[in-house]
Amino acid sequence: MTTFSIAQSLDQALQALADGARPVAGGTDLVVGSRQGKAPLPDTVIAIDRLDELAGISLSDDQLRIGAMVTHAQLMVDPIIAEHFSAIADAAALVGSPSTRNVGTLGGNVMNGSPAMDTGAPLIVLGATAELQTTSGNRQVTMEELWVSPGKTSANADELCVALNMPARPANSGSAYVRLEYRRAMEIAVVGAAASVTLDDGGMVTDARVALTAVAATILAVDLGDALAGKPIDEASLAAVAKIASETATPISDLRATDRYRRHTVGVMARRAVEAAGRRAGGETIAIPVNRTLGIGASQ
Amino acid sequence: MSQKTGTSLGRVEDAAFLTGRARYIDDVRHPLLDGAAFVVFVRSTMAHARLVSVDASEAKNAPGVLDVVVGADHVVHPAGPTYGIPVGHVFTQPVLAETKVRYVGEPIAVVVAGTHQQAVDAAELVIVDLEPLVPVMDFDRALSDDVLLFEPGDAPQFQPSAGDHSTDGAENGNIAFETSLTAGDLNPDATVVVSERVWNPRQAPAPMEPRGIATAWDDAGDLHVWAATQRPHGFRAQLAEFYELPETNIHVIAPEVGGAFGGKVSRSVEEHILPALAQRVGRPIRWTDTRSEFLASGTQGRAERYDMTLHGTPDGMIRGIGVNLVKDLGAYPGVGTYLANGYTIPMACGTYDIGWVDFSVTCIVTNRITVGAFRGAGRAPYLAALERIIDIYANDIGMDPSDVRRRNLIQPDTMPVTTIAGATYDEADYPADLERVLAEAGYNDLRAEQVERRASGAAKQIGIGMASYCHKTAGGGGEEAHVRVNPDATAVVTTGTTSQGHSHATAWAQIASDVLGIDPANISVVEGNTDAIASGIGAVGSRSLQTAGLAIHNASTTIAENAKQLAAQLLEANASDVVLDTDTGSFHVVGTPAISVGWVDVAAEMTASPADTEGDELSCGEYYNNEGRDTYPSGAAVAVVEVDIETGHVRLTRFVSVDDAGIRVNPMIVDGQLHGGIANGLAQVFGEEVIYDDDGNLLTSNFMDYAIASIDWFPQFELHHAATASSHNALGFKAVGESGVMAATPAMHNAVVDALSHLGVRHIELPCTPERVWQSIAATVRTR
Amino acid sequence: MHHMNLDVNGMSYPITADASRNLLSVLRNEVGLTGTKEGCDDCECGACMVLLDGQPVNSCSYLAAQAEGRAVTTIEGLADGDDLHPLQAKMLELGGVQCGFCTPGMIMSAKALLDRNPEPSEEEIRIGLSGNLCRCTGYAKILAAVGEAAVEIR
Ligand SMILES: Cc1cc2nc3c(=O)[nH]c(=O)nc-3n(C[C@H](O)[C@H](O)[C@H](O)COP(=O)(O)OP(=O)(O)OC[C@H]3O[C@@H](n4cnc5c(N)ncnc54)[C@H](O)[C@@H]3O)c2cc1C
Ligand code: FES
Ligand code: FES
Repeated sequence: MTTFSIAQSLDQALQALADGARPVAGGTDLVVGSRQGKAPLPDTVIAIDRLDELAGISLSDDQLRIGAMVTHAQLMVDPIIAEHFSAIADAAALVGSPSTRNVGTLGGNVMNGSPAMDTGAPLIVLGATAELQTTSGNRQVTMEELWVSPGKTSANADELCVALNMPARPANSGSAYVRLEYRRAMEIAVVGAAASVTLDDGGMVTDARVALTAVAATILAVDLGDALAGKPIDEASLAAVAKIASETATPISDLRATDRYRRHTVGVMARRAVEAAGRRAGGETIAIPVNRTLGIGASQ
Repeated sequence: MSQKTGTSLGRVEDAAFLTGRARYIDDVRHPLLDGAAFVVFVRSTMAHARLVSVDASEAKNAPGVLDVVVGADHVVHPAGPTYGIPVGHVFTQPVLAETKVRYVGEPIAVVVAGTHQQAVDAAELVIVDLEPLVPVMDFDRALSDDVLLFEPGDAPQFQPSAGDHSTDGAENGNIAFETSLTAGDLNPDATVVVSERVWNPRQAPAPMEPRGIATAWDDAGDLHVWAATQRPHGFRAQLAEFYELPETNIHVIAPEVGGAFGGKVSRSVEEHILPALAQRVGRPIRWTDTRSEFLASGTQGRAERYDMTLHGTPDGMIRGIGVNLVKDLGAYPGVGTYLANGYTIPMACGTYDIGWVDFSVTCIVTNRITVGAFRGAGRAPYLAALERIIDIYANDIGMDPSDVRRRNLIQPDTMPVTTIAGATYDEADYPADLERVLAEAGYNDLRAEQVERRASGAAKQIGIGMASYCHKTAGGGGEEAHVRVNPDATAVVTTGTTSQGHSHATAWAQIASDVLGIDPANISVVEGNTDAIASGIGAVGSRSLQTAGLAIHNASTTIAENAKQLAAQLLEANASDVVLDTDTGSFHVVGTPAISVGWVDVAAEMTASPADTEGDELSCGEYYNNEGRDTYPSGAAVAVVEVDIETGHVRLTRFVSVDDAGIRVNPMIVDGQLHGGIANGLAQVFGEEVIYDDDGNLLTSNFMDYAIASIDWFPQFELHHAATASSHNALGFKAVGESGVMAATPAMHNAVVDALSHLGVRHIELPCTPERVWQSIAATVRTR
Repeated sequence: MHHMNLDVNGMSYPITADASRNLLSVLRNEVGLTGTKEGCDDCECGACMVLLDGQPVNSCSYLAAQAEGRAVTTIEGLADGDDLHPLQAKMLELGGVQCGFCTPGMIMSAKALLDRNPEPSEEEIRIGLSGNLCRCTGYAKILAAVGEAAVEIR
């Protein structure tokens, strides 16, 4: 028998967690999982989706704050996200279907900790941290610290993720997220890649990051070495990115794809992500999600 | 005003569907079902195992549990010979496993409880001891008989009268059924011999509504069953046999049924046992399976392996076809067993004039779910293999695939024609359909674009594929229809057919309306109720229109003739001078339309003078059987795909078809049926496949993993129609329910391979998942 | 047992049910509205689609208790008496229904789409309906019906 309540305040939610309750946001992982028999619903559940403290997107001079209860549907159309943090919007627009995006939240995606989650690679390349709060305090953890293994985070059970924070973007920056999928909706990424790129006035890369989806136990940050730094984005540097990404990946074989195929295609996705991020950094507008605009990953 | 055949009338049955008022099995509320108990099946977790013991004692004492039944309880006779499936009795599935289990998901025990949750909880307390046997998953392993699924003594207990058949068929090992046909002569000029193995993987019918049954016994001892079924009468006949009841004491109702596609033929053990359980616990019972339960225990389709050999001349004349088909029947031979003789071998020639066929079929058992029917059963897989080998042949002799087809298609002036495989095709123009579809697709321009893309070395290459088809329909015997015109000039059509989205309520009304001149909105159709009409086969294998449609027409015609007699009395004229104006539904004397009487007048006249008549002139029952004059809807299609060479991802960019469904009663409905069939064919090419691991575990047990097509897989379909009247029935009807799938699979499949043929790719197995496509490219790169 | 007040199609329903119950099962069994369907158990088919404050939600995978205080709209709440909503009327006219099992969910997704985007492109309609599976129609006529309904509503 499950006990359920709707949190009326952040304090109430934090206290409930301290007392052993599990938060439910959109429920698209938690409730779906219980229905599939993956894990029964927790004994005590508290809905946190109506808390104002966890809502909203705000950009200050040096930081972007996305409330944990911001939904994928909000992320994909938010002008700040779409323009400056495009990779997050690219990813949010691919999640599930309109209904999944309507109730599914960024906080839920992050705290669920799936290695195939779509917003994960964008959050890493954009340098995000998760803000975790308890009745007694508040801490920031990087995404790499947060995700431990499939479905497991380093957050304590009484910690509520209240927001995702990340530095504001320098000028001439762009980011993108692409994923390989067998169909466009209601799909888990076969593999995916996010890239963020900053260019100098001459079009040379001053900063670049790549992270990969569904090729390791957690979302994987790629060490690009000097593959891009100080170089233009061209055939040679893109080929180097693809190679490094493929080599970094440690994928498994499952029903959807073999490790060999994942290793190959994650390189292709990384290259395409960098290419799109570079174009955006150069001032080009590529509509969200790039997957569709550029016909990158899906069947139609 | 009446709506004639050929009008795209909006469906008369739709309002209920659109407003949520339609009642499907789970929505049925009936006093007899009040207080229904729920059941949960305890299923095998192993693909092949000896059943050592089942201990239900703890489960029986669990809260809310009314009963727990195991195989040894023998609560109802198993199917056995009743199904008429041409295999030995040893292959019969016990109602609940007795000595062995043979697929993951096979029912071992069943728990009946007051609530669904109580049944779920109690089912977990049933202790099943299984001793694993080697699972037989591989076709060649099955054929080798190194491990046998059925051994003497394995058979379940049979009806007492049937004697001991428990070992019948065991001598055949894992081969449940074999058949073959060799006919004609092979022209010695066939110096080119092309061979390929072409798989047609397992699919699940996967209608959007899972299976479901509600059942109750009334105080008089009659059995009432509501079932999501394609075959209410057939189901009733089975229940009559197993429960040893006269059919008249069994009442089967199919409420609205949310799709079937071969997946709801009501031959499963789950369905058979429920009335016995209701009887034991003295309460009605409801069972609806979940999606994952349905995917893991309902029947599947396809599962065929074709070794194709084409014998032809160097200049593109096909002289002979050799086929070695191995069909996986799953663990317990079912409907799939009929298909070879009934549907596959008769299609050996496809739409081509072929002089020699050598066709052998071996049906094996493996440790998977039973193979039943799925849209296009028995024909679509073979036609896909045939169209594939033709493309390979064209490639090998360096000829355009359209030219090879042109040279070999059956010519219209020879039709009706009986092929060397013994099928008599009715009228159609296969060459014209092919030319038209090529022209509509802009075939030559597409080829030019392909040449350009290849030259550019672009990451996205295009492929163009085509297929020609015809397929046998109208099997299974005749259908009965009853038509009645009421005193208020409304009419009722009752048939033994059933609709699971087939739009019968509208199409049947249009056919009757054509004859009676009564508006289809005023004609109601009664189906899916064994009390309403004595017989019925149901919706299987594209047959309702050419059987029930004719019966409705004939019954309506009799009524119209009777009505003219009555009208003649009113008009004080000779009946032979009275005509029925079907636009207005009124009767008048030839040449004097100003003076007329309507159906209301005629009906009044009938009741006024019952003495003159034998019964009710405005009511008529007819049975129509085509006496083997089957119809063969046909057509041709072109598919265009774009392949991402770097990832193997394939996108269907165009699908153009010309289909000849014969005379179309309602073109809108015809298009809808074609669309659905094309979507099924498409899904098989691009993703849909039932997958088991080597241990026999089903890996595709939900819609995430079993990917049926969603709305974003398609371009707009470009449909064109030929409508050649068939001479095989008086109304020129053919069929359409399964046609869409016939050309879709091979045209798209050929297109994928065509996109890569310049790289040396010769064949890719279905489904052409990105990974498979990529691997086939990678393989040619390695060998180059 | 959990007490909740559900607002469904403008009516208030006081309901007592286990807090783990999903909205679909409460709508069908407690509220008694069976138009919303269940087609899967992994939130993939969309047959269960309802609107929550006007936005689409898979009711099979949403806790009923969490819907308290929000407006739930089901297929039964769409037509105005005997007058079909334009989406329903166009589905009928253009042949978007076959077995009808996906239809309620499909229409609810389409309704949500048109409410937020009255002039959707074909691509946007596809995205809007991408969470609804249909095994019968191949979607072509549904796509057309939603497109035409959008024009009619404007
Ligand atoms: C059909 C379908 C398709 C999907 N497709 C995708 C996809 O394409 N890509 C993808 O990445 N995901 C996908 N998902 C998964 C899911 O929708 C996302 O992960 C979503 O973002 C989860 O958010 P939620 O609010 O629904 O989380 P919930 O289910 O409410 O919560 C998820 C987990 O996080 C915990 N939690 C939630 N919020 C917090 C918080 N603020 N602090 C601490 N813990 C918290 C919960 O206790 C629970 O354990 C899909 C799911 C479905 C059902
Ligand atoms: S029932 Fe399938 S998504 Fe809800
Ligand atoms: S109409 Fe049957 S599932 Fe859509």
